[in-house]
Amino acid sequence: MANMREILMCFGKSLFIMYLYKDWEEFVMSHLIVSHVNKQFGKGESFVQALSDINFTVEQGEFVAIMGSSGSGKTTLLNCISTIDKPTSGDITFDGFDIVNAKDDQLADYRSHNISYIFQSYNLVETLTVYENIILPLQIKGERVNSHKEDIDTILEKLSIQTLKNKFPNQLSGGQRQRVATARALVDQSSLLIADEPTGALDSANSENLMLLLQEINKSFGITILLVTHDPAAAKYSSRMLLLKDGQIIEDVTRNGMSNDEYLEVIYSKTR
Amino acid sequence: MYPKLIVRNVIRNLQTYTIYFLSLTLIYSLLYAFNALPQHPVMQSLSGAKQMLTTIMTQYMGLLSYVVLVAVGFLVIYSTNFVLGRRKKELGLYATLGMKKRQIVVTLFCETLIVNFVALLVGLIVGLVVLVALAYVASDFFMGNYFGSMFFVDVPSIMLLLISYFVICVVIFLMDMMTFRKKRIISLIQETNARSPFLVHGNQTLQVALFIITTLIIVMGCLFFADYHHLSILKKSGILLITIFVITVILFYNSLSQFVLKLIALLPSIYFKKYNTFKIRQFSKQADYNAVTLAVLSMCLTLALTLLVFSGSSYSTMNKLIKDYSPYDLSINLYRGEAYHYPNETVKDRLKADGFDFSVVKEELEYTTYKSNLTYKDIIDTSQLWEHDKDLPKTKVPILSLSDYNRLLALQGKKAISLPDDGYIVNANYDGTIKQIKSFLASGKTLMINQTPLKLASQKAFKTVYFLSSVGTNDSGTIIVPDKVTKTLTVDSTTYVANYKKNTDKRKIETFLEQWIEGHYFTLNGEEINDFTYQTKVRLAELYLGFMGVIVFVLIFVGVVFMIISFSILSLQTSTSTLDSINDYKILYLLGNREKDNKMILLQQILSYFGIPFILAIPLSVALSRSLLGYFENFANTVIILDMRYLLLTAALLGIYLIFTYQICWRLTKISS
Repeated sequence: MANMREILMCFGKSLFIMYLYKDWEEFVMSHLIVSHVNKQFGKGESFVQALSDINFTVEQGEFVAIMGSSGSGKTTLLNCISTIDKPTSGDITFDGFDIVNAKDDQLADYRSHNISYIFQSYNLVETLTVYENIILPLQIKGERVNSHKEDIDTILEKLSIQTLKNKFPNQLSGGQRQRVATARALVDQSSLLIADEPTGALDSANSENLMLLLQEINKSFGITILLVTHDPAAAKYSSRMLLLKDGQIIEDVTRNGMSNDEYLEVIYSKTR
Repeated sequence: MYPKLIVRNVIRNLQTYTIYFLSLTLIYSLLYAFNALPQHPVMQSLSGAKQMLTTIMTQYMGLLSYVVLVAVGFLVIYSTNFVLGRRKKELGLYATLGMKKRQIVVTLFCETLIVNFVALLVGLIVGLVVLVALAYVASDFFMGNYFGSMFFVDVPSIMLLLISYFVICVVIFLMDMMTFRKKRIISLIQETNARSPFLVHGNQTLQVALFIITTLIIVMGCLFFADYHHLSILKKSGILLITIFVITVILFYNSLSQFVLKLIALLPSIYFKKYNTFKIRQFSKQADYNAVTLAVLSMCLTLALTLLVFSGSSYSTMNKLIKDYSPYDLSINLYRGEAYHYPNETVKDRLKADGFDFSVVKEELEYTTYKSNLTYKDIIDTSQLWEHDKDLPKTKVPILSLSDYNRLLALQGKKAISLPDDGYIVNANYDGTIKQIKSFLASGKTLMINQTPLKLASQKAFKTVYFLSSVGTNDSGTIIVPDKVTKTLTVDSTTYVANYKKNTDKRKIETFLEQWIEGHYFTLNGEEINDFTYQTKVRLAELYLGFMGVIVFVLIFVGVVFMIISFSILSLQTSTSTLDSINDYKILYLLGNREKDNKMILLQQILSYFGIPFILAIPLSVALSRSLLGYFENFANTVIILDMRYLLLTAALLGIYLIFTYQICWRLTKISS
């Protein structure tokens, strides 16, 4: 009974969002829908409006770079989408799943099945080997590691980290660590990859390698990528760029067949 | 100095200081209670035990205090490590804001000082309560003679607490100084939690081999030393063997994680299942980084568990035996016969005449012991008696009438027995003759007592302790016969037995009896003899419990202190490890692990951390307890019954520390997520 009620409520809510949303066609196609999201922190003098009426949709397989200066709200937005934080108001749905109103356990399941993360600080478990770090998402989902053996080998090969399998994170360079984090993000076949400043701790050569890799992953695996970065050189690998300022989206630029360099020019012109 | 900052820091970091505070409080309370015990009125009412307890306490408390202080030193090291780990960034911030290293040390020191002082106050209050409980136990054990209030404040013990407080403060200051001397500001600000194992690992196969060798050595050592006869080797080469043992234990813990990993790697289906990889790696990290500490803790716990089981079992056995062998508070024999002076009076008549105060008596009876021509050599095989029983064969076998025997049973709350007119039974409970008595009973021999033939009515030896004697040296064999048979027998003695009313001043009665018996000595054929002999429960208890009773008490104290310190260090170490693993739990959460799963993993981690030192502590303490009990049994010529109830105390303490540790660790990971 409780499940039935939840389904009906979710359905009702979706209808309401559809009513609010202007572009029906875009809505129906959308993978991720962020609608009228607000986020406030503090009270009185310390009150901060981190996000202000954010609206956008992301389609399956898009590679979206969220840019903005420090304090613009890009990480807050990413946290809300990745279920780590909740918006003060508004709705976020992912493939019809209501992220804002879900319970903690449902969110945990949602995260384990749909979202993968890559962080600036790599977030690798230091006590686990490279291989053990990569299979961690499968273990959390309770899946048999053996049945994914081929996929794991393919990913290790693709990311050229096969020889590092038995090493521990503290024996790796920054670039290698980030590749391991990327492999972990790919192994459980999530449909959304969230990358929070993944090049933040890398030198320019490693940054470029990583971004090329993400671009390739986006194309070959069809995985949707949300990338938060302040670096236009990293954003140029995306297919779309959202620019935030004071908690609002002020630019929404699509690559539309531009080359990386042309696209970079546009990003520079918008962010300057 | 930043007094406001210091006070605010203490209030904000209450959780960080919980384990430290809890442990110091318990240690202070035990220090107070055990130091004040010899001065407690209960102990003052016991001349012998009190004197011994005071002597032993004075002799060993100094030494014990050093041990406790060294242990507290360890506690401070771990506590400082934990505080540093928890507040690294904050302290780093002070440093970057221009606070000098010295000022940071003083700030931390003052904070610990405040926590220490509050622990002292709370410890004293808890100590007052513990002392009351301890006084009740001691009163019951040593047969106390005190009826006033059990609440007692002992000023010298409070002074000792104050001295301990100051010494602990000095230890803390030195530890803080040493910890910070080499600390660089950058290490406080940096996020890295990477630590290296204390001992270097060789290759994994070598480690596995080392683990197997050390395990074999430990198992063989346990089996060898579980037999107390082998303890004598320690006299010759004790230092060498103990050094080898300590090194073996350290190597065991240093190679443990590699062995577990190697073993589990053989079973990939288990290793890769759910969170097993994560849990085993965390376990292995803990075992690796803290191999030396774990080895020391396992030895501390071995000592604590052994002392608790050994002293606890000894206490229970002694307590039971003294209660079994003293069914009455008082027993007085009056001897009959030509040489003696009171052929017709009862014991009570004589006591009355000599001014005994009968108002203290709750219940009493007088029974008669008869004798015939029958000696022990007539009924049992006396060829294999113990050395000190060499006079027994010639001794006449005591005989009781059935009605007297039943009255004695009734006084002890036991059921009466019946006997046919021509039957007899045997009462016997002395280890030196019980075997012979049993074979006599098995023969079913008919006895001729003053020409009256009596048949054996039961082949079972009745084991009632019907007269007071030293523990273990009671009835060598008494024949119980129908009342009419005793009419033809000679009276050997009349015995008066009594139980006192509650709250009777037993010391006063003892004094009366000591003076009274003096007045009944007389000389016969150059030998000094007495019409009476007496025995009291109080005298038996002091005689029997004496030195060992006091030792047992002191050992329980040492055991509990060791236990508390071991658990505290384990708890602090576990919390510090959790601090290092906060990021790991955050990653699990981000990868979709539910909060309750994280909680469960954390709980299992804590349980396994606490479990590691017990891997050796349990078998080692079993071996050591067996050995010590064997040695003691041989020394005291008694049989100690193992009493595991004292381990409940360990379980209770462990439970408290586990709950606190879990709460703190969970909050640490939760705050972070």
